[in-house]
Amino acid sequence: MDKKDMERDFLNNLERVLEGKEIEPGLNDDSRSALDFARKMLSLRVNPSPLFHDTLRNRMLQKIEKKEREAEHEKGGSFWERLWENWKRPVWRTVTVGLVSALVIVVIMGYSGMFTYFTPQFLDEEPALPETAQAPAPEPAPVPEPGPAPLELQAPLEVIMSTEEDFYRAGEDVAIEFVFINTSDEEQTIRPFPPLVEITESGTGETVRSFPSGSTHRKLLPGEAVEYELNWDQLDSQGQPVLPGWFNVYAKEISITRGTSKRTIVMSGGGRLLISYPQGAMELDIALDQSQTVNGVTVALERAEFTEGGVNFYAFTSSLGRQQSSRVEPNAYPPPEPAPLEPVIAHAEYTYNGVTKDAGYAGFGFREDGIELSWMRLDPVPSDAGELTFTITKLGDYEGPWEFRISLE
Amino acid sequence: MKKPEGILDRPSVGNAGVSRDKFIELYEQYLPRVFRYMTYRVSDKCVAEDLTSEVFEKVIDKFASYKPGKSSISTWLFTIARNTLIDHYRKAERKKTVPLENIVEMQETKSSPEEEYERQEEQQRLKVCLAALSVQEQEIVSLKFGSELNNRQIAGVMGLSETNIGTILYRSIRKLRDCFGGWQNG
Repeated sequence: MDKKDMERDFLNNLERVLEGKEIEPGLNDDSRSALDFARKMLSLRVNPSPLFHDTLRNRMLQKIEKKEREAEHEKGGSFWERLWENWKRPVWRTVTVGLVSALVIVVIMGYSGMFTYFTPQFLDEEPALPETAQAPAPEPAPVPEPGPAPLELQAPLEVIMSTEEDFYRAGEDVAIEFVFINTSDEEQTIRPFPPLVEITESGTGETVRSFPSGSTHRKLLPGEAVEYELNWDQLDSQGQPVLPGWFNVYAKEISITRGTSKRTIVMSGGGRLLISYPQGAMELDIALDQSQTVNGVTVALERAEFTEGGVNFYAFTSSLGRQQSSRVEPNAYPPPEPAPLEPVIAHAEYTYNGVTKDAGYAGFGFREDGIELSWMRLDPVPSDAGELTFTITKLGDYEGPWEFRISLE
Repeated sequence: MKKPEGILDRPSVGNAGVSRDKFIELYEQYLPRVFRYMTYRVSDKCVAEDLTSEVFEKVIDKFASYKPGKSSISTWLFTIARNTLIDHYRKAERKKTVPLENIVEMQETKSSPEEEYERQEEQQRLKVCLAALSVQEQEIVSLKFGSELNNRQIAGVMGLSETNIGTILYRSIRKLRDCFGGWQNG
């Protein structure tokens, strides 16, 4: 066996090791010991903590929202907003004042009879603009630049999860359809077919129901698609109905073998679905001005948004976030620069109609005077909830609770 | 059939970039892989978290410039991750940071049961061996083991041929084994 063959066999088996499979027999001792070592290298894999996962996710969603707001602002607000923006410019202010003054003078002169004896002939004729003064043809509306192309995950297999409805009421059967499309230019075999499907709570990541995989396989020609439909009765694995909210539905551990190659790729794919309350979801946007001080730390709950798709909470604290610096004399000159703001970890939960849901960890953003905290895209709240309690359980090193009662009447 | 995302899918505004739902899809799929890539390359978990955050910040900022026809999303994303790491090491160089090997050696080991202690020591030694490879070898091993990329995708990120990647991986894993074996026997 030459060096190239050894290398090829080694690399094929390395893929097997990474997929958790056994090494094929017939390898020399050198390659085998290197592959055993590769297995050891996998022990260095560390998963991100749930705290980091939630905090970063919320912070990034906040960033996207900010970018969307900025883009909307750049596109311009309403006509009056744009007029006001222009009015604030000195040139336009001068022009506008001049025009208004001229108009006032004309009106006064008209009322005082100064124009009574002067009726120029041109007022009786059809107005005719000289050729040079003709209004220019309107410029064709600019064709909007196409936005960024939709995201395409270029895996050899595309997995599309879809449902009949945008959302389902509690208790309704959920018809879930998966479509697996061979996006490569080779024949593929996917196994097992149908694959394992898991439904997890979006907020906590806990698996509520699994649909076991089949025991067959499915060959797909380039571009060919195969469908798999399943029905979820909204029960968890213990036969209890799940609480309304967002759920992730994923087809998992799909092994794909391309063409005649021995190499296998394992992937998963899916989407999200929403179970809504039978009575509908609360839709409200409330500006709040509630603040709570616990253990010397003050937090203000500034806003709560309730939509059919979820709830967002926005809070602010100026009590935390700065590093403790050494004591500074009160009259020190020049005054020292304030210490930079440091992110804080904030965890919360919310309760309505006797149901408590974990809001997870907050995303954060910095203002000059403190830190904004946001909990976004939480499960929706039913339309008949009279009151909601939002509780920040932990903020940095401080234990709460900072409790805020929000009337939803 | 309608996609369930429709209910909340706020389309991208102008060139603002990725929509929230698309971002979540991307985030859930790639966060563990980006984070693992970072943990293979830096010894401090907090630094790995900071660098991972930086990568996703850049993904949002640069999403409008992503061209699906030009590269796959994984190649694009891990190119950002790799450049973020290169910048990190450049800054560390300017700050005269202690080399990785020393950091690993200096890490405080908590008192724990013997097995846990051995496991931690083994992991530290693995990191020391990894840090002893050339930067290119470290990158390829981290993309393979941490990011779960195939050799073609690694080739796209690194700007090398798939065959080269295979050869470097083959060589690097054997070097790592020898380094680790030397420690066990020594």
